[in-house]
Amino acid sequence: MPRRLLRSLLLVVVLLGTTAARATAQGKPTLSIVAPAADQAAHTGPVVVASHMLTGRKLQELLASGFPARLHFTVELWSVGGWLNDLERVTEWDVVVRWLAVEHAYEVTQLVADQPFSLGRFAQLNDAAAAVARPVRAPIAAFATGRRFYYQATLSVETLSLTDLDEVERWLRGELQPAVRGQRNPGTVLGRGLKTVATRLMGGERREYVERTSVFEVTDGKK
Amino acid sequence: MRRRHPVLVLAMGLLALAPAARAQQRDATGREAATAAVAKYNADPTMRVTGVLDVAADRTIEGDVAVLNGPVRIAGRISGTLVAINADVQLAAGASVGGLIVVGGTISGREGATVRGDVLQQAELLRYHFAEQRLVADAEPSYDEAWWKRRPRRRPVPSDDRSWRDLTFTSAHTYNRVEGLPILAGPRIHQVTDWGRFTLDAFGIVRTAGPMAWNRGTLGHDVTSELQLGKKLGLGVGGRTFDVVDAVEAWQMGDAEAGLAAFALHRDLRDYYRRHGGLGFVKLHAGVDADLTFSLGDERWENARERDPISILRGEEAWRPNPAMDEGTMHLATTKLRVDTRRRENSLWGGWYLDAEIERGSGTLARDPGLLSVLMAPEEVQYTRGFLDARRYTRLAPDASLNLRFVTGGWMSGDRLPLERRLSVGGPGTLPGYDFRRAWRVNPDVLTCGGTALRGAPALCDRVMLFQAEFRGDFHLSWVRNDARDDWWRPGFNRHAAWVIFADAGRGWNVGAPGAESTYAKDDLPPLSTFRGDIGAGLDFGSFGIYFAKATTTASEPMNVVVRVQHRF
Repeated sequence: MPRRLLRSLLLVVVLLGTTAARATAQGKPTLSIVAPAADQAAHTGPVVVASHMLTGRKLQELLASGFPARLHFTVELWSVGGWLNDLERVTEWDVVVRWLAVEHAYEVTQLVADQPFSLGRFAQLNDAAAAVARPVRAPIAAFATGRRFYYQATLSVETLSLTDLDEVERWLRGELQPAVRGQRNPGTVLGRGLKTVATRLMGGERREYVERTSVFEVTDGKK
Repeated sequence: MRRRHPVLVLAMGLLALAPAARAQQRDATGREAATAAVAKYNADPTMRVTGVLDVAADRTIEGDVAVLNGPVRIAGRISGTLVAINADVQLAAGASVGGLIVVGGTISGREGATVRGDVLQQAELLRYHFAEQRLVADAEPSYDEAWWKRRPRRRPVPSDDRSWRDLTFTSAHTYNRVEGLPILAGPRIHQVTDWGRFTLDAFGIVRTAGPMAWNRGTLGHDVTSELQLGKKLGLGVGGRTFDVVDAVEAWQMGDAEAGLAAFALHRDLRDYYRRHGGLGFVKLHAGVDADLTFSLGDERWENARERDPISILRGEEAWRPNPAMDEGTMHLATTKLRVDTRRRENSLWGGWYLDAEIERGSGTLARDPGLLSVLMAPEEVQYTRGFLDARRYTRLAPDASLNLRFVTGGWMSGDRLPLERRLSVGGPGTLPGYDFRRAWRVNPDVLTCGGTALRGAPALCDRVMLFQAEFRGDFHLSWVRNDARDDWWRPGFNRHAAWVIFADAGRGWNVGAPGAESTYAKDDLPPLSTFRGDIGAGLDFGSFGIYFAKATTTASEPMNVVVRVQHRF
């Protein structure tokens, strides 16, 4: 085998290895939910952690292009019945990550009941991802009863400008007023709308993760 | 090389080990770490940092340091306690800190660093706010066990508390064979005050179906104004003047879906008539969940002939004729109740949807123009009509839901209903196992009550009743793509979908002297055995669904394949 070909093959192997190593280092997006101990279950909620959620080249490209990522968390408490399960409690919150081009920083904001709470501004995406991954205790607790419970956490990750999302939804309904108000170029509304519709139809802007705890009982622990 | 005395070496070793031995890491229980972190942050001598803190190996900071958000990288020395709130702490080999309190963050590199004091750590995020330049930890959420407080309010009242006004240019959100795509343009005002709000939507309408001309066939208007007293609960008073084309039976299918069927498939699943007049109304509203509206209006009803707007498929075919309607002037008194406890379309809790209406109409109408070839003289008409659409959405498990719908409506008293107020069932929105307005296959015709024998196949039933039930189960469909490996940009699916099994039963009938086919006395209900039913199954991908439906009560009806761009109901 010619030496040049060998060298090229070696280079390819090294590059592949580097890429694989980088991919491993980035980590796989993981959602986890941990129920409280049985004696605490009546007084406190589960802890939710969303790790490595900013992983992925496409997601990072979209972020760098100015499209915010919206992570919507929903945590439900279900009780186990004989035939049917009952939804007992629900809580929701959001985390929004966006690139501030002027400041060269990723801004991470948590939104609970429309109240923003800054988790910080970070120059490095890894630090922003760490802020997203901070454990959050969902404020829904089980209650003392004969039934058994489990929690389910659902996380949807959308990478799309919220403004554009609104605009596209309006556009789908037939309204064009953002363009008419002069905030947007009317000429590009249609094109941008079609592009985004195509993306949405493919589901390309949305990821979803679902995790459940095992079934647990509430014991009579005093707070 | 000088030799050191063994005792001295031992003493130095013990001294070196002493600080490390003193430092104990404790996972704080309750809010111990948070309380300590907040106290330390607010202490006057503490150096406070928001964002990155990077202490190089050759740098020493005297005193306590508190950092918000971070990240924190320490290679040098901090003589006091390092507090990190919602920040990760990275200690380099050789780093030294007096004590360490980390709330909402992780600690790495501790094994190579020196922590002389205690280490307090709480993994969970700390929410806080500032009051008079002091950091205050937010109160813990209350875990109220009162059963009536377990379920939060399903649909929060939107924080639509801003005043705005703009010039709107919009479609009517539908497409049909009479108007084509109606375009609406005009000002909108939404003025919020201390006592409530004032809204005005003033639209001119341009109908794009040809031939376009400067007349009422092309131009119309729809102006609505309301003065609302009270924000969450209250009373609204308003008025509306209009010259519009309206659907006879809008309840069967949404505007957007009916419009899409017309535009894409050349199938218009509604009939239309013109309404020109005005009304005044009083509305009692309870947030966005419910309202009760009383209205009084005078309007002229007219025929609306089909035109020839474009469609993507079968554009060369003729449209189904729009049936001729009764024409005349009517005085209408209407009571409407709307209750919607669903939080949104993909409701977390499920909920109720209730749409009830009673209309009393009186006026002068030239009736039955499509039924008789001669022009009838106008006659005095007075009628009362009711309509009820009640739905229950119930989640049985995280991945399963059972949805039920009951619809009934029609003549209640007075003269025969005008054609504008007649009803029918059959088609994708009601009985998908039966084709829309092709009831000649069904004998007797309990779907349109004889309408299919006439031009345009109008709905002719005085009353209808419909039951719908569906069971939905969610599943994750992944095809080609696997988002976990970041190939979510590929064509294909990777999203939640739902399988649906359903059953429907319904029929229409006329009210009159018993004996005639499909005619029952006003106090009678048709036997359930005479209802037409279907069963089916499908896949719902959220933005569209495909369903297979088979009529169970008419063996000759072939299986239908129905594509919907919204949930069945």
